[in-house]
Amino acid sequence: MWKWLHPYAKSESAYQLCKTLLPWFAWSSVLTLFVGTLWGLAFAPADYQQGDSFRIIYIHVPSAILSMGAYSAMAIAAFVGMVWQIRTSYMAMMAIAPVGAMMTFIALFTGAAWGKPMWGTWWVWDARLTSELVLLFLYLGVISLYKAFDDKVQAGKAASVMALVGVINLPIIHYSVEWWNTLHQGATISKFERPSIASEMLWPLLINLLGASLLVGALSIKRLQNELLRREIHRPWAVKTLIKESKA
Amino acid sequence: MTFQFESWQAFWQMGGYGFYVWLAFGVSLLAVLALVYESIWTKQQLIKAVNAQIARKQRIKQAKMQSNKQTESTTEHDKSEQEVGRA
Repeated sequence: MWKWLHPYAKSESAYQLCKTLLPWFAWSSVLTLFVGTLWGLAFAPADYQQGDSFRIIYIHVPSAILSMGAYSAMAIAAFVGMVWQIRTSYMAMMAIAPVGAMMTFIALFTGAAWGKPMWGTWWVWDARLTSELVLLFLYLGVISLYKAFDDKVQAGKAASVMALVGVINLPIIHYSVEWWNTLHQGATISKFERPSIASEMLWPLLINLLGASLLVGALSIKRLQNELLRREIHRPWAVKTLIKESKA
Repeated sequence: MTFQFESWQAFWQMGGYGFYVWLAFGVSLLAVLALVYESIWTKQQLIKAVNAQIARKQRIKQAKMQSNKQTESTTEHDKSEQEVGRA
């Protein structure tokens, strides 16, 4: 049933697929992030309690959701790599890791910049904030573990185990605002009932969420291409591709 | 949909939260740009590496050809010495 997928594990076809997909992801992410951010910053109404400081939500929430989304994607790649012994899957895992780490950093930083005027502090050791910080360390751990091995198959296996064990942190982050009494507010848009946010405020948020997903996709694709070329730099297809693309 | 601020100045001030709002947006933009830049830079490094690899292969080829010539000439030289010794 999944047989048609297998040829894409071959490095050369994976590279070609990435090459086809990249411009679509890159340009659509630029467009959606531009529209969503402009709308959120200038045209969405100010919050009745938080004034204009709430506009940080337009990057804080998408980046926080994507920090977990990217981790899930990375863990799926790790799982596929471990179960079916597909090298390309390990490369995908390592392509996603820095992108997820960047999203986590953005979520933490914008959270701090929002927390200072609203809570009066940049940081508290609250359940939501701490578990999100642990997520950042998990990303950095996966990256460093992979870099610590010279044999990249061993490296992929070790980093995969760490990525898969770290999945336990995702539900902890998500439910942290319910399980513990925290300073962080509860869920706003990821609720099963109607989201508790006005639609004029919600639209730009959803657009930016889409934009951030496309951005994670675009960067991961680009980094997977780099990883494929780096690992196979002695193979004829990679040499040919690099020479061709250096002339273009 | 209307512009929510009375003037550009008000827009930059963000109702007094300007510092925090622009700090958050600015640092996020920088983080994204840094990763985009790093991804493009890595590709450039790979292109450099592959060119170096090709140059190295050519140097090895040339060196081999030269050393082959040299060994040929020395063996000829040895032969002639042996011949001289025999004579």
